[in-house]
Amino acid sequence: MDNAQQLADEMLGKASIAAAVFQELNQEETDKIIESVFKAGFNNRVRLAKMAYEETGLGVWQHKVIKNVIATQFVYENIKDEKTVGVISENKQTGITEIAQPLGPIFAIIPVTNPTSTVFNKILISLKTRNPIIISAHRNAVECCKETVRICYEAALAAGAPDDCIQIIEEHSRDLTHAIMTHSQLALILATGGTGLVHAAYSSGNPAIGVGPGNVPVFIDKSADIAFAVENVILSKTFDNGTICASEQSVVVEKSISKEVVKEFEKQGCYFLNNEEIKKLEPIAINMEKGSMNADIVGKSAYFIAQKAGIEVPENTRILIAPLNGIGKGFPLSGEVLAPILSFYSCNSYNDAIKTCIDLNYLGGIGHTASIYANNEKRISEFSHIMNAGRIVVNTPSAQGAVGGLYNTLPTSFTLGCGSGGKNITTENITAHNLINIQRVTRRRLNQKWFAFDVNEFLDESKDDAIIIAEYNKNT
Amino acid sequence: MIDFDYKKTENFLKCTFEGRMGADNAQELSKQIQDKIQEFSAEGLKVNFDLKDVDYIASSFIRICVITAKHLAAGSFSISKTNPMIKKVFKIAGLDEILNVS
Repeated sequence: MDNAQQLADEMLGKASIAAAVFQELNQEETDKIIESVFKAGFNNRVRLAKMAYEETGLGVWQHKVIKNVIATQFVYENIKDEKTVGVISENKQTGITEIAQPLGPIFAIIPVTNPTSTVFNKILISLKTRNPIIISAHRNAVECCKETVRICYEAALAAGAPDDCIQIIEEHSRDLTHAIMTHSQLALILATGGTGLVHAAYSSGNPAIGVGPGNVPVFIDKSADIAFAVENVILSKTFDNGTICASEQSVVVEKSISKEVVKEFEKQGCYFLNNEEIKKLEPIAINMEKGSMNADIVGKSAYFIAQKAGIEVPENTRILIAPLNGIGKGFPLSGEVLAPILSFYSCNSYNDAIKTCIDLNYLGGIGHTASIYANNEKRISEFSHIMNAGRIVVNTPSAQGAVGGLYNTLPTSFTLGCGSGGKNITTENITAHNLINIQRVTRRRLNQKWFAFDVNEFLDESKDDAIIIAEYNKNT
Repeated sequence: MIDFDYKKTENFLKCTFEGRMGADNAQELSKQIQDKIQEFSAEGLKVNFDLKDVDYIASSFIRICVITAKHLAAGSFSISKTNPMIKKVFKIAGLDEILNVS
C-alpha cells in the first residue's frame, strides 16, 4: 500500500468515527458548534485575510476581510435557524415526515483565489449538517488554510464537536487528493477550482458537487442608468482584483449607447486598450497554447498587469478594457480572466447584443452567472430566459450579487452550482440543505380513486385512455 | 407547400424564410432548396439562409440546414440574422459554428 493510500485510509478512518459520533448530536448541540466556529472565524477575519494575501500574493487584503465576513457572518446568519437535524418537516395531511440525516465525511477542495473564506464557508455548512470535513487547500494557500482550520477546529471542539470533525491535508499532494476522492468511506466531494479538478471530482465514483469556471457577460441595456451600471461593474470586477468566478468578464452594449458607456468607464478610472495594446496583453493574460488564463496575473492589479505587458497606463487604473469584435478562437481575451481585465463589445442592435451574450455565456461559462443592467422589465425577462446561467443578477455587481446575502436574498455561498451546463447536479448556491440526506417517513394514506377502481380495467386492451381515465375519475 | 424567397447573385444564393419553420411540408421544402442549389450549381457556390423573420424552427428545418451545408464545400453555408432564441437553438444543438450561424 502506498503512502497516499495509507494516509487517506487514516484520515477517512478518523472522519468516519467523527461522523458516527456527530450523528448523535441534536439540533441545539449542533447549532452551538457552528455559533462557536462562526465567532472564532469572524474574530480572526483580518489576520487570516492578511495571511491569505501574503501567502498567495493575490487580490486585496481588505477585500479578503470582506470575503471572510461574508463567509462567516453572512453564511452563519443564513443557516443558523435552519433545521438540519432530525425531523425537519411533518405534514399530518399527507402523512409525510422528513428527517434530516448527515451525509458522512465530506472532502472540500479549496481554490487559491478565495482560500480562507471558502474554508469558512464549507466548514460551517458541513458542521451545521453534522458532517465531518476534510480540507484540501490549493498548494499556494496551504498555510492560511491550515490556520483557518486550526481556529475553526478548536472552536468546534470547545463547543462539543467530535474529535477529527475537521481535518486538513498538511502538505499538498495530488496522490493523496486522488486517494481521498476515490475512497469508499467518503460521502461527498465539494470541489471548487479549475475544470480539471472538477472533472476529477466527478470521475471519482463518489458523489460530487463541483464548481468550475464562469465567463460572465454583463449586458448594459440602453434603459439602464449608465453611470450606476458602470460604477457597479467596476465595484465587482475590482473586488479582490477580480478573483471571484462570478465577476464580470465582458461588457456588452448596443452601439447607440457605446460612446456614453466608454466615457463613463474612462471617467471612473478604467483604461481602454487599443489594438496594439490588446496584442501585448493577450500573451500576458492568457496561455496562448491552452487558451486559459495565466496564473501569474490572477488577482493582480490592473497597473501591475499593464506593466507586465509593457503598456503605459496611469498607476490608479482600475480595469483594463479590451474592445473586441469576436469571441472564441482568435480572441483570447473573450474567455475568463480572474483579474481586472474586461472585454468590451459594441453591437449593432439589441438582438446582436443578446446573441453576443449567448456566445460569451457558452464560451466556458454555461450554467454559472450572467448579469444585466436595465430598467425595462421585458428586456430583463428576455435576457433571463435566454441565458444559460444559474444566477441572473439584475442591476447588481455580479461578484457580490452571485455569492448572495449582500445585494439580494440568495443563500450566501462561495460554491455556486452551475447546473447541467457546468456538469453540476444543481444551479443553487450550495449551502447546508445541500448536505443532508432527507428521509421521508410516509404513513399509510389510501388513494381512494385507486381502491374504488377495478384494476382489471387496465388489462382490457379494447379500452383506451379516455374510457379508463373517465372511469378512474368517476364520481370524484 | 412552403414558399421561400431566393436571390442569386454570381455564385451566392440567398434564401429568405418567414414565420414558423415547422415540420409540415419539410420534405417538400428540402427538395425545393436542393432543386435551387442544383439549378444554380456553380463552382464555389455559397448559400445563405436569412432567418430575420423566422421565430420558430423545428428539428426538420435544422436537418435541412445540415443537409444543405453537406452539399456544399466546407464553409460555404451560413445562416444569418437569427433572433436570439433561434441562435440559442443552434448553439444548444452544437451546430452554430459548423453552420456559421450569426
